[in-house]
Amino acid sequence: MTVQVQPDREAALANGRAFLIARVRDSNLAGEAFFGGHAQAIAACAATMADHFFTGATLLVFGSGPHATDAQHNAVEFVHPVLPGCRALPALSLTNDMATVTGLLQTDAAADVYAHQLRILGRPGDIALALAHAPVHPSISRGLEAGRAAGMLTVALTSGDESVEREHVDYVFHAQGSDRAAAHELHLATYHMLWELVHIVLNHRGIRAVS
Amino acid sequence: MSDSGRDPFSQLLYPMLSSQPAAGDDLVLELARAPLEKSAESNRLRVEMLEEFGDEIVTTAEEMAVAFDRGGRLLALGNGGSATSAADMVTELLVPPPGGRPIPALCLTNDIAVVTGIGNDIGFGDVFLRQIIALGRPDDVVLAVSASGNSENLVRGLGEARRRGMSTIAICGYDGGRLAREPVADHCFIVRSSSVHRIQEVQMTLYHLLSELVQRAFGGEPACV
Repeated sequence: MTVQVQPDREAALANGRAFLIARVRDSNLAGEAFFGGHAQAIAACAATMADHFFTGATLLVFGSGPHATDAQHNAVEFVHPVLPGCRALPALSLTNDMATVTGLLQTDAAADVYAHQLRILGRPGDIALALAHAPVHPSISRGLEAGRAAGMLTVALTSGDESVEREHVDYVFHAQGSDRAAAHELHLATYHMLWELVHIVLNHRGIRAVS
Repeated sequence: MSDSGRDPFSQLLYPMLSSQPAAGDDLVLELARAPLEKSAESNRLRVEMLEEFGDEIVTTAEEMAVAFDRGGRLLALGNGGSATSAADMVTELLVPPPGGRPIPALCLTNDIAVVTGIGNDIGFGDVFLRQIIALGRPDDVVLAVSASGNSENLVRGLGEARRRGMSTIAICGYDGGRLAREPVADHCFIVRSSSVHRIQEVQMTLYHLLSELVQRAFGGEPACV
């Protein structure tokens, strides 16, 4: 056994409880700081995304490791809206196609795993959304560059010690210095908010669900 | 961008709308209040969740660590956004932060051939149950994530796992739904909210806490302290 079960149950619980309280306090403080600093930009980004959807954009989302799950979460969020009355909007996760992803990984074009899909699947006016924790892998930077070069709106949700090169990205939401798991929680809340605000703007413009 | 862009659904479906204004500065200012309000609500729910379930999170993580130490694995289930939570928990364990111990874990939504095969031939209610029968072992820990707690395939999957002697954990929202009412979960954590988004945000913290406590039990330093 490598797991040591603390025989003193009260001490074990107190120890665990102290960890949880500190961790949740850190999470909540990080949330206050992050959204305090980014609320305006989140609203502006959502309004711009709504303009793009209004003219037929598809949202293309990519990220690696835990962020691959965010790409899928964004796709289901937009394609299958949780609130009645919201229109289904086009969104694709670039992490889903295992044949393509693993195929590209075993070629010299591994760092183009997202850039390739953006170039071939994307159209001008689409939205490229990347999620990444530092150090930012070249596949993420190249994806954003490819999106920009193809005439897309580019958005990045990043965290850790460094973000992406801002010259290729229209909106960057960066959680500085946070640990990966806590920052991931901020990213989830951020794209939930982007989704909701996109629909508020589209509603404002008269776009509702097709019956 | 012009409203006369390519393939605009505004023109196909709502030709009368092309004169509607884009979001102006006033609307953006109004919208900017939302992230602050929603983040504050998530923070409140996190504290509430901890007050109700803190001790059970600690004991559950300890049971998980013991099961993994015996060779058990995590099998994770979920539908929709909750499927991505299940997948996130799996990769947290399988590829932990530096210094952590990798733990075998499988997300039962990953194989689209299996999911659509079972869904088509038997029914969507059995997509997890059948995989539990085929893949599950007695030392495994089965984790179901759901906002409503009412998904038929999760209730059946978790019930089957329990019948086969596996440990079962449910992470739900609202009032916990069927996963809380029916005797399928050894531990059932509930984020008591009616907003799917806020539920998912606090659920993510909850399963991160479980994975960080598991790593602590193995002697690894959690990433956040």
